[in-house]
Amino acid sequence: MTFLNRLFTLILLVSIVLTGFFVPAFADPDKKILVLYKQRDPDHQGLIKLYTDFLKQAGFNFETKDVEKLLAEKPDMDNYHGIMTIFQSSQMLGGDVYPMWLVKQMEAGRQILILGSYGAYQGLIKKPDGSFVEWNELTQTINTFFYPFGLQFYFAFTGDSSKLKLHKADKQYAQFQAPITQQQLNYYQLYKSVNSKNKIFFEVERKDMVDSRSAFNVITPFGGMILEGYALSWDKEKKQNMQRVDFPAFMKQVFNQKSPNVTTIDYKTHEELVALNPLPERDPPVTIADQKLQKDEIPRQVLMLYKKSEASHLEEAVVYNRAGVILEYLGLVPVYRAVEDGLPNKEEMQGIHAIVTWHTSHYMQDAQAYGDWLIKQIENGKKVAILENYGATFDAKTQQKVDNQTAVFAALGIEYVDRPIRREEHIPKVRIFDKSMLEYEHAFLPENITYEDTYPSVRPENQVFFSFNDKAYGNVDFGIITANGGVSLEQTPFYFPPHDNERLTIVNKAIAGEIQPEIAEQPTIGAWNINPYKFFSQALSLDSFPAADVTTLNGSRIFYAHIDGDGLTSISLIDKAHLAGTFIFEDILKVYADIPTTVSVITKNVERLGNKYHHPGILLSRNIFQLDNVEVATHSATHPFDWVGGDPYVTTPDDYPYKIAYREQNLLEEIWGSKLFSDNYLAPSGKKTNILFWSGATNPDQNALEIVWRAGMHNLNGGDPRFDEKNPSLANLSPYTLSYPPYRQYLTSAQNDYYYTLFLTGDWGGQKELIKHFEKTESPHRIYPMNLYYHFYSGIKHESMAALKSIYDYIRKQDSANIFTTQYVEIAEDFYRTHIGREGKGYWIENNGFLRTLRLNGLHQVDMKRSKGIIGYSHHDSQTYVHMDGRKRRLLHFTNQKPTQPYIIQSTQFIDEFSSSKDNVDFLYRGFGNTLLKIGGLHANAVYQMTFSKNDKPIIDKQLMTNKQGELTFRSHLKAPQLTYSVSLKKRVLK
Amino acid sequence: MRYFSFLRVITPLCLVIPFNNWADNALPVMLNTPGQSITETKITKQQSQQRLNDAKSLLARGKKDAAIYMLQQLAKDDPNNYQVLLELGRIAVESKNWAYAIAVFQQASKLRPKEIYVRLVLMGIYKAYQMPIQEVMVSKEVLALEADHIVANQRLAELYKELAMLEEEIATRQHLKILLPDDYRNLKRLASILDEAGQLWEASIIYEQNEYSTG
Repeated sequence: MTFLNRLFTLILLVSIVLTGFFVPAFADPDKKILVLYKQRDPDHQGLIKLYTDFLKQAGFNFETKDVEKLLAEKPDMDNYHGIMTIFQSSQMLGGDVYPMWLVKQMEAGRQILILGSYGAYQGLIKKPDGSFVEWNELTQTINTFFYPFGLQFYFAFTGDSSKLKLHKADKQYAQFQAPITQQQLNYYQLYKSVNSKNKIFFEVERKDMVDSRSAFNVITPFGGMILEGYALSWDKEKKQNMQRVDFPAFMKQVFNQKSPNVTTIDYKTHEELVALNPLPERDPPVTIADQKLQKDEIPRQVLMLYKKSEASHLEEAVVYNRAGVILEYLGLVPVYRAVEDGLPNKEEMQGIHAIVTWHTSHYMQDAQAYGDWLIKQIENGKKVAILENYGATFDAKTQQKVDNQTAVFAALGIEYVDRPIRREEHIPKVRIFDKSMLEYEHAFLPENITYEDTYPSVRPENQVFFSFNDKAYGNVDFGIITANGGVSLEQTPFYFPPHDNERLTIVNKAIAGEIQPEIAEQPTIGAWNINPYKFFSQALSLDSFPAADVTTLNGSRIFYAHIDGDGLTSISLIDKAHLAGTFIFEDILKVYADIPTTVSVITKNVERLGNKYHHPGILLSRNIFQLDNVEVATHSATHPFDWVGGDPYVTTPDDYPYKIAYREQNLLEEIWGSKLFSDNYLAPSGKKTNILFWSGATNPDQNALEIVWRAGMHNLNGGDPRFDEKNPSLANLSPYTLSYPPYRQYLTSAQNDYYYTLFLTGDWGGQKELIKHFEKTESPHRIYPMNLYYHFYSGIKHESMAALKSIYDYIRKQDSANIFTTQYVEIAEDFYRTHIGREGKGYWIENNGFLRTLRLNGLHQVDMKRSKGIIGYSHHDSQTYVHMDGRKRRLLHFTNQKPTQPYIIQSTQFIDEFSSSKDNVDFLYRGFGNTLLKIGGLHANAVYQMTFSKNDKPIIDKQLMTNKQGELTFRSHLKAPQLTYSVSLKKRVLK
Repeated sequence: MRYFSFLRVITPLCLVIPFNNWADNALPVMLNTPGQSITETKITKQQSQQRLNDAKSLLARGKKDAAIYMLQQLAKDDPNNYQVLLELGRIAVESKNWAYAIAVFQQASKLRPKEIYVRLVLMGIYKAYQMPIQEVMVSKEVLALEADHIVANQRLAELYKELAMLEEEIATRQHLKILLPDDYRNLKRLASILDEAGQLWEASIIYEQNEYSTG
């Protein structure tokens, strides 16, 4: 050793000694530091000696105790000022209660210093034979201490130096007597700093992991930690341990601190909340069917009849699952009625525009009465469309043929001829084949049509779109539009493979193990032979019918996104450390902050995941819900699978063979309790949980819907529509709702990631196909809004995250109206309560102001001067989309001229209080994200000043020029949250 | 020093772990962390039983998550331990993690190719979660072991009806007719589908038999 080296060492030792002796400790001299060790650790005595020497140097008195004995004895801690732990091993008897004991010490104001291993990563229970039961403690158990302490622990261990990157190494508290090198970074645990007052001296991150900066050596307001492996460094030359940390100084800093109060999250359980807060009473909703027609009102309801003998639940009825969405698109409100429940009386029929039947069998209960009733309705001017089978040829009870089927068809202008069964084979010739009506989705094969009875058209004005020339029977017309309605009989309306053979082949392959069973679990849908838009338009005289529209807002196609809470707390396979929910939060919701997303969690699962000291479930949910682009929703308390039949459980857990039974759902807790928990503990102030996303089989009954209604919430999920090359029929699109009068279950406008990934057994990136569904439901008929629907478990894999990003990126490129899910559901709710009536040659439109689009066939010009509550219009696919404001009653008038005063051609957000003169336009604009405004009716080639103001303060002020048509386009981006801005457009007078 | 890792693996809901290797015999890998790989060891039968008992003692102490982890580790280290799979499956059903429950009971059924009970449990889960194809497959396994198993025959007939597999439904109901000659519902349905299939003579005989059975 050279003289200089000796001198340096001497100075070092002296400085340690001096620092230790002469810097007084602030702590109460009567109180001591409790040094905890483990008797079972092989070198515990050496460790006690080493670290208590430093304590002495720092000026502290101390006592030592074996932690495992201490936890069993629970001694009085009054004599101790702080706690220092010096463990080597990771297992501890009482390891499960240790973090809670530590946090209680923190609450009592004692500082905690961890030197080396935390020591209780694994719990131990001693068995009678002296051996141990050993288990790994949960992160949430460990973080019961660490989180309030100021750190958050994750299991992200690696010992691979090449994966580690040094971020910070303080001279005094990380490299005191020996510098740290990259090769010496050979131990990593992830302790994230979660308290801004932490002083971090040594920080390392993993190169292969996001958000992985770990505080190895740190002082928090509640104590300190020197991570194991980095306290000392073995000097080979000197053959002695060198201190990486100036321990006495470190100890003084820690133990002279005054602990602040420990922050806790206090909450009540779902059960307590439900017991304390009775479900409010609320009158059931008033449906359009309950309301009498107003003066000049145009009936919008269409009675959709089905038989319970053919469909035990409405969802199974083809009139619902094939025709429903088409009629809704055309603007009608379907009212579904099983004939077994009785036919509507005269009063009930008042608001009915038309009747549609799609029966598949000949037998019906009270078939004769049904025919008589139908004749009366036709005589009363109701349009009637009959698809496939008349459905009441025989009485189900007597098995006798009725005698009024002829009269029913005669009322429609069609002859019904009862024919005997023909034994000989006959192949009729096709007489009429209207290509504009047929072969819409499927090649129409006349030879597939089988018939006995015939239906020749008798009125010359009838339009026959499909007919045979039968050698024996003459004209056999199966597709006829008449003045009273229309028919599309036998197999003409829809193709369904005979005996479902295509699926049977797949099912048999699956059963034989040749293909994945999941592929076969999807039922056959079939395809339309006729053009259903055209058939229903013509048969029910809807060509000039003004249609309330749920797809569009101010000329922009609606987009909404929603997340089901499944998988929020699953570990992501992306880095195997962070939660899937964290990836969705960080990489989707925060990145796409310009696009609204409605997010739900499963509240009781969130509740269970933590305690008042550390609650990752509540914290993550709060972080997500605090985002301005996020709307709060719930996905129920426990995620029921079967809302009606209950979920399975094992009735004999201790007695194999197990028996499975079904446990009834606690609907009050699932819905009301979930909302209460979310509102009270998850949602930030100013936000409430206003929508429930059905879980599992999404099969609520009327009871569940009533609770949602009384809880003041909206609801969504179910339907799972998909329309693309792989599912190429409109019949794969569900109606907008499933009706349980007086309530409705609102259905999604797209399938979710679960389906796109083939129940998570296929391509995890499968949801990128969703864009094809968007395109197919846009043109030639914009039948749906766009909906991105996924689960938190999409955060598990790179592929699913990439699929989500591709869809959000796609939406960024559209000029769509991006709104929250609740806003879409409010629009859909309004669809079913919109009243439309005649006002001279125009219309009046009345609803709650949420649905703001009226769609008309043809290219119309709106008279902006005479209209009220109409802010503009646009033309799209040979249709006119009329934009309305949020008032309840509007008047719409038409003109032959293009408007000479300003009007909105397109806006990507809500507009209210629109007023204009030729030179000025003023309105309120509500929204965020992509902002597009196209305004027409202005001076041509003129300069206008556009100003967006909030609280009279201009946010955007821009000069714009109109084109030669007097139209102006404005583009911008508004930051979330969704706010209302005052917008003014003034013509500038150029000097 | 032993390093380890723990992930909360039984998620309460539907499957969150990939089943890309659905045809594989292996239980889906639920955990895959560096720490876990260290704990992979060959264990003896006695050790395996000991750890199962340990897991049960944790369950009894209310340490469900720790028990789950221990059982999952055990299922990995001793993949042929039938009892471990049953215990894991039961917990998964209780936790509404049906996909994992199915995977575990499927694995258990492979371990015991001649055991009916585990297949009946699987049938129950498939029924609850509306997976008729898989239910048909496992029902057929039950019947391969015990052709006259009434519950399995009845359920299979219903499943064939649901899947519109007319021929298979007729065959199953014909067999049920022998097992339960007075089963009015079966006879009624059998007559109706024979009628539908054009086997009018056979249908009429059953209609008659049905009238007789219902008095």
